[in-house]
Amino acid sequence: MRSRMLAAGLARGALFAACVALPAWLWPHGAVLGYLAQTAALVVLALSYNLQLGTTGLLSFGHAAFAGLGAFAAAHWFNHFGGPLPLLPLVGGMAGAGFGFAAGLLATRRSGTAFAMITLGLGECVAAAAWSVPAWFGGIGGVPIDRASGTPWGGWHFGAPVQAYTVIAAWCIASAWAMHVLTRMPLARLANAVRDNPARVAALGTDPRRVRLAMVTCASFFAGVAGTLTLIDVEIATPDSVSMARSATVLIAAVIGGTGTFFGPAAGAAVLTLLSIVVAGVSRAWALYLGVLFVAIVVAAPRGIAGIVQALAQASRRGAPAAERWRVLCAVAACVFWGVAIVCAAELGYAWRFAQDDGAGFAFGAWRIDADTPAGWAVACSAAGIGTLLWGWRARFAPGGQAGKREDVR
Amino acid sequence: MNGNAIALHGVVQRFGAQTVLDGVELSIAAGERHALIGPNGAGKSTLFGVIAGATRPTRGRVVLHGVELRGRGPVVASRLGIGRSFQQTSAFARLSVFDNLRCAALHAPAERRRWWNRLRESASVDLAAGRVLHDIGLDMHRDTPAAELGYAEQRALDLGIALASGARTLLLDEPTAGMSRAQAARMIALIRATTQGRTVLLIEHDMDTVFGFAERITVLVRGTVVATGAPDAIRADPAVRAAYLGEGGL
Repeated sequence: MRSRMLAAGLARGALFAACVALPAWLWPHGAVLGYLAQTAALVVLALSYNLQLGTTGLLSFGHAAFAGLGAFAAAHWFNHFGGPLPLLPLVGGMAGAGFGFAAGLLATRRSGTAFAMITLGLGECVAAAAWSVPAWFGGIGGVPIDRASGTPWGGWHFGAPVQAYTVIAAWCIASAWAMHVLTRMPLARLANAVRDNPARVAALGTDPRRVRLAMVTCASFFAGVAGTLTLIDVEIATPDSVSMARSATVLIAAVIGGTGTFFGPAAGAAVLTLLSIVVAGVSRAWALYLGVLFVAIVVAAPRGIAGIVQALAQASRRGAPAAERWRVLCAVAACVFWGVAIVCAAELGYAWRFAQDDGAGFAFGAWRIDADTPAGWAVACSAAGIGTLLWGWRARFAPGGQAGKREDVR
Repeated sequence: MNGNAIALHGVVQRFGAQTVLDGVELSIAAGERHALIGPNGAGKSTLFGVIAGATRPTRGRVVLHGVELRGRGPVVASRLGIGRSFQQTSAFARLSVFDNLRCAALHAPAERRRWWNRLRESASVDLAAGRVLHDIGLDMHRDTPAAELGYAEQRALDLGIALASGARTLLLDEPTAGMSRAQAARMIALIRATTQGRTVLLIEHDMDTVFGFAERITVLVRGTVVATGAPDAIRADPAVRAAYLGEGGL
């Protein structure tokens, strides 16, 4: 049992490392590397966020502040003292942990809504400071660095994107491993206990606030690392990196991926960067899709992508009951049809709207569907209808219905 | 040390205009099995909250194993040797049964100071948790999340968490609440078996189990102690009969 779990853990870790390293090795082009670097930084940030949200049950609205502050500290350090670039994330991490500890002293006195509100306020303070203190935060221009100016390591100057990405990927894998180790520690188990029942932890003799503070400090360390990875990628620390929008991004990534498992938020981060880079290049409606996806996950699949993957794995294992398979199949098909419906409707709507503005033809996509004719809308409506029908069928498969109810109770 | 595990002197607890505890005097010797009974709203759970440091009394002194608590809260109370089970089952819902116990065993007096226990698994913590797991009879549910246990099992786990914390003195708040008679008898037998050598203060509604279990009984009515004594003396006490047992239908 234990060895099998160990093997599964190793397999997951290897898969994660392969996802980070292999694409860069196969296609070492600028665009791919840029996408991968952004993903890697967001993966670290989302995983660190989940140390708070999933492990300790602390909903934070200001997590990006620590990433951004770490990045600024690292940028100033690099410009003043130099040093080897591969060690720079350590500086950002220490700075993030320091700011996280200071903020945590205040915020971890409370949990739940009060904690969320305090982090919102602190995040807003940092974001305001970033704009109003140009001496530290560089104003609109931010604080630029020249990543090739550090101490070279073995002939590497890290100016080339491949070399920079090597640093980022190594830190991404190392951070994920370190956080994974952290979540297996008794301290993390105690943090789980604080999440589930802080009064009981206090009655056992550990102050829940200290556990929360420890976890917030750890999370802020890795947030600082993530911020510095972004800095290495784009060679500039901007006030945008401490903004509320960035905090919302990491929250959305963690929730989409699923906060109940370790690698869930990493998957969420990958999906989110995919949407914000690849889909954003094709369609103007990408933010709408992200919003719909987020709401759909929160409502229909609270365990996120990780939960969906687990359900699929459950249904496709040998000897799974036929009802369960049909249920999952119906759900997947319903999601596909709804996806088609939403994409059709959104694209038609956008095409129609912008066509009016631009005065161009009412057409979009490879099929050149005219947004003015009812054909596209008919497709959208029928897809939505079929999706609803399939979702209705799904409920008929009895054992699954019970499982759904039990999940609601929990 | 005067041999008292718990001593309360003139404890008054007011919530706004309402006086819940009105000058409670209580002393419980180390190693004693003591029961606290009283009608609904007598202030029993509030008194537990005061002893465990969860609520700070308006007035009065709480002395735990010879050290005055001075309103320093539940963390200090537990370090003075107080362990507690709750009226509403209060385990860590999403952790497995074994992990619940491991969290508690981390707080045993021998383990508490070893800070490295927080960073790496300790064989002695696991051993202690495993022993309690066996004692409370949940061996087969070792890896079940606490939220998925049956009701009686959850109550047993609640007790187990208090046991695993290694507290010298256990406050058990209605451990048999909502159980059938047979379940309750099993629970009391479990408590008797697992709390050998420790001080137990137990809130209970079922009179028969109290009289069979406790060495001494305190009757609390409307925030004051009406009587304290051996079960037979309590049964015979006219004030108790009038105030409580008459209502209880004994």
